[in-house]
Amino acid sequence: MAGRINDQIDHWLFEEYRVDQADLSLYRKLYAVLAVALYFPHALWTAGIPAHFWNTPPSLTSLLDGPPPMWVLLILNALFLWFCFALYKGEDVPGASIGVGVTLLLLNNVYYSFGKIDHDILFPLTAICLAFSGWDGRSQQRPWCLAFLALIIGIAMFTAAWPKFAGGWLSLDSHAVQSTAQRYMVRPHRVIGTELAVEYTPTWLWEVHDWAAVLLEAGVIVAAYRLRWLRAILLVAMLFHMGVLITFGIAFAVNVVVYAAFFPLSRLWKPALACLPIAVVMSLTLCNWYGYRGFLWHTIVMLGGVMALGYLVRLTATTVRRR
Amino acid sequence: MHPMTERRLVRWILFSVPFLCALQWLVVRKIGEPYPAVMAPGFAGDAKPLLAIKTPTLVINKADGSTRETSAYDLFLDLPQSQNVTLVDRGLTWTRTLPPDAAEWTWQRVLTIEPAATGAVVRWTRETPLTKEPAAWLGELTIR
Repeated sequence: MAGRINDQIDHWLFEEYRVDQADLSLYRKLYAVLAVALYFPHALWTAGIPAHFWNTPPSLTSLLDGPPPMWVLLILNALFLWFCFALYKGEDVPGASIGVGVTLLLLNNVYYSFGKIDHDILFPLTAICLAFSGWDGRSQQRPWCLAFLALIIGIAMFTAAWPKFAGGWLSLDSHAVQSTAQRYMVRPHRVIGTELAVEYTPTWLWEVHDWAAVLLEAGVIVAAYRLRWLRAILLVAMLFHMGVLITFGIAFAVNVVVYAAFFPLSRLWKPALACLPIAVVMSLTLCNWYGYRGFLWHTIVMLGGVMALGYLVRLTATTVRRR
Repeated sequence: MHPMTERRLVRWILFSVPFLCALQWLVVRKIGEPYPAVMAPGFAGDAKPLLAIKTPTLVINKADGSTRETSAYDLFLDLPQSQNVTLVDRGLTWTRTLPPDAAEWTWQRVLTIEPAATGAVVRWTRETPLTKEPAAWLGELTIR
């Protein structure tokens, strides 16, 4: 019995997440480009904020009395850019990966030291997790790096699922997603998608959303046991993120970028190019409603959602035709 | 590193994950969410209906004696959206007073909204979106 469990663990760590190394290498380049596009320059606005607004989480910035001076942020940004460039070129990939992750974590720490943490932790952790994965395309592949990344995604999602479960999201008396939408209706940055959702969504569908959100988030850690299962649930997650963007204007673009690590990118670039115009049009429509600051973030989420939808439609059609 | 040593090390890392998760849970419970932490937003409280919200209004006095009212969140529209709400909700709440440097910094932002401003306060009211009761006054923070 113990032997079988050990074998299962070893298989999960050292074989299950063995992928085409060319795909990993392609993902490295994509990650490096998007890291710069999504984050650079980062946290520079914090330099001028008075210390009165400084409200740090338990972290390194708790040691500071206020935001660091601009020159510190500029150095961190320059290092971040340099590491991203090295990562893209494939030079000293382990060092560059850790450098990208650590500089981004430091910059994010400052960024989130005013009382609110945006939960994009998966993005810098991806670079650190994959540092020794062989995503340089030359060195020995280490599947356990991708396995740990899958586990981290599952844990992060589970930390979102548990408070929902404990907070009564699954109760038939509560409609938590509807309540969230109502909260967003009175926020300063409410979006037309929220208004439409509140106006036209029937009660039973709100309840379906509650259950779907909890089951999806709790299911990722279970799905991480098999790469095939994880890919399936991440496709659903991309649809979920697209829905959240349309309804609430929240773009979890970094999550979509992280999920891409588990997919065969060399086979997906043609479908991606085919779906890109649709994603751009949808993104521009949203930007017209919500403002143009998030165009790249919206497009990434839309691209993930459109590709996921396209794949699921194709899968359904193929299954129906076979029967 | 020898392959067997690497395998042993990786297994130990895996076995340490539950302890690290428990440690993170303990820190969150006792101190608050640290950074970095492997977490995603929970929205636990959203299962309950929205009963009341606190609304900040920026009231600007102008040189001609008139006043202009706008959302206090307009003060930080140039800052990242996820943070500008927090800056108002925590930094400009009526339970705090602004030190001179923060007051001057915020005042300069008021002047970008209304160049003819001579004074400004952030007025907080409690509103009930579901029952639509009259807004209840909570307090004010004086900027100038």
